[in-house]
Amino acid sequence: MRLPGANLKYAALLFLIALPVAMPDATAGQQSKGKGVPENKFLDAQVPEFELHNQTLVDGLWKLARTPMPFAFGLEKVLKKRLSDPEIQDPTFTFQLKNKTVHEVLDALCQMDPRFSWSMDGATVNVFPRAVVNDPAYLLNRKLERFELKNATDVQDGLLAIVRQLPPPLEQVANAQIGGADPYPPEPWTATLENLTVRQVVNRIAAHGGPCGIWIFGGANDFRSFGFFNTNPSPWLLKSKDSRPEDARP
Amino acid sequence: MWEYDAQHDSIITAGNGGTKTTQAAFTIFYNQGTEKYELEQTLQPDEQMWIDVGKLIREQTADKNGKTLPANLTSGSYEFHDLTDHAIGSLFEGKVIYDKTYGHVTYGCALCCALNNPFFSYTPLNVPLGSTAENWVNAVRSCDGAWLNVTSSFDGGWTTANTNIATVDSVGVHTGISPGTTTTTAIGYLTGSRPPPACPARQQTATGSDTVTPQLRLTLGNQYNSIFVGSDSHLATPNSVFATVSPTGGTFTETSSASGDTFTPVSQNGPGWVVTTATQSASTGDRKLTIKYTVNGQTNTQSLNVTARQFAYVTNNSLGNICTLGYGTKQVYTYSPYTHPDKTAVQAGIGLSSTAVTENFNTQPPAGSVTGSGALDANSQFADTIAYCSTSPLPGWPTVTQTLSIAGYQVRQNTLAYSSSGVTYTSLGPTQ
Repeated sequence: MRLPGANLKYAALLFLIALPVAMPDATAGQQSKGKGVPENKFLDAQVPEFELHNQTLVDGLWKLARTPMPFAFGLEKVLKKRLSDPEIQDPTFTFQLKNKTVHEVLDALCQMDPRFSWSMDGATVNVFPRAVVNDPAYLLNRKLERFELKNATDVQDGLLAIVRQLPPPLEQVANAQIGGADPYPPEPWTATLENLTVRQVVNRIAAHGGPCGIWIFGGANDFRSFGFFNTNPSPWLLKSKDSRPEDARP
Repeated sequence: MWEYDAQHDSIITAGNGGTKTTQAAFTIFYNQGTEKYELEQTLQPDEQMWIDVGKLIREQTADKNGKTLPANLTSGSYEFHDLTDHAIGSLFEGKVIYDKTYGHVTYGCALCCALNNPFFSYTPLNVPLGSTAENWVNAVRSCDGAWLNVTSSFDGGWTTANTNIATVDSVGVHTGISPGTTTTTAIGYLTGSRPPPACPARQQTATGSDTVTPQLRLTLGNQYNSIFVGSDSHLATPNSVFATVSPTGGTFTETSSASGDTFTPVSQNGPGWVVTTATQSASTGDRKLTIKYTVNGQTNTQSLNVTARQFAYVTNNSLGNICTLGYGTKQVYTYSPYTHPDKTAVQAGIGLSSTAVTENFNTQPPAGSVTGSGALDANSQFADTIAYCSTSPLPGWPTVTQTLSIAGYQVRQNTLAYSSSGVTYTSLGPTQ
């Protein structure tokens, strides 16, 4: 695992906590902003108390991302081989941490569920299965030398652009979710990105909706789906919501 | 006392001995004082009014109320009263009863209606700190025991014992300086009981106590007099009660009309408390939150009447299918919550942002579907995405029942029927 930026002080700790795992996103284009205030400053924020009771790593991430400083994350679940296979049961655990940093809590979560590791890409925490780190065929590890997005107004526009710009065969992706929302700025978004993995592109697609965008990737090798959640008000959304939408009776 | 019969008659007079015009009231009492006959007349300085009681009876002269004296009336009592100045007055009066048979004449004067035992309207008088409160002086009229407001006779005669606690101006308006108790004395001149012609005034004193209470003003964390039922920490903003006090340094006691409600000190902008309740109101405004503030033994108690609202149901709208991946559907529903007891919509901007919206399913959503919790936004609404949208054909899936809850309270159930063409949504309510 490698942490881009200036968090070297944690490197030794991480080395001890987790098995060394090659950084899946160690590319030149990983950091979208490399100057000024570090985007991962929230990693040093203190969490006065963090508790899980028979909960999973996913539950822990949701909880952590809401306190004390909301942050963006992308979680990649362990995929089933086939959609028809039985569900993979995520281990649950109970623990309590006091006065730890966000960084330390992330470490603890990945220690509790050692199938996973985590890294930083700009301001986004990526949590992914260790097993896929060195798999170049894994969708989110695939490289896009050049990624062009034109007039995107929805995360689906970004997903479509990804699968269309990857070398054939055409990858399947879905947006399958219940709950939350993924509002996008109304102004069409056009961007060109270079030397990024699909994971990094998804990070940017999610981040365009808001600074604390969350995305979760799951399903099976034959049906891969994303869910996008913007849990915190985005500046553009606050500006555009001058009035409350009309209600309609069910 | 007056008399009138075949041998007697009574003539009564009153004069204005003062320097200002006054209004004189003359009252005859008869039938053992149970009935009265009333006349009023304006008297200029030195002017007199003359009452021939016999003539009033003989000529059946009506009084100011249209009443006449019984023709067989022979005796009774009477009273003059200065309507312009209750306290001292300027009337003097005299009377003559003459005997027509023997030429005997009786002179007499009525007793002065003295004003005795002055007392304050309020003792103790509660004076808010830094604010004012007025007191009044009353006295008992000796003639009939009536209480009269004689405050004007004490103008300039007001003092307090401890001006560090309260001061009083010349007309009885007190100002609270600091919490505590003190006494007020008012000295004035009231009609005495010594004989006319002027019923000379005598100095009298009223005393009483004053209590200066600390200032306490309560404000609720929202402008709609609402608090919300539940333990979600994001209810704290609307559920907060803030106290503005003067002086600081006192102690607070917090109570609610609902047992089980708790008050937790706010983390900032205090003094204040976050009210946590598990019970909704039975009717609008029936929850009374009371804060008592005590300084130097003096207490100010204030209350807020609020409605404890529980999330009850939601309405929603949707922009329609926005799936653009090729197969399936994607709908984003915007939900607006309503509360019990009175079916009020939760107002935008009430401070419920980030209050948890949770989802549960009685059969699990399709494999690969991601479920996530939402939260109320600044408009007190939440969005819920139902997406089953893919770049490739979709597998079918059993129907799912979705349960939505806000702050832990169920507000909606929906059925989500999955097929290769997407999701069909049906509301199961509740709708009220």
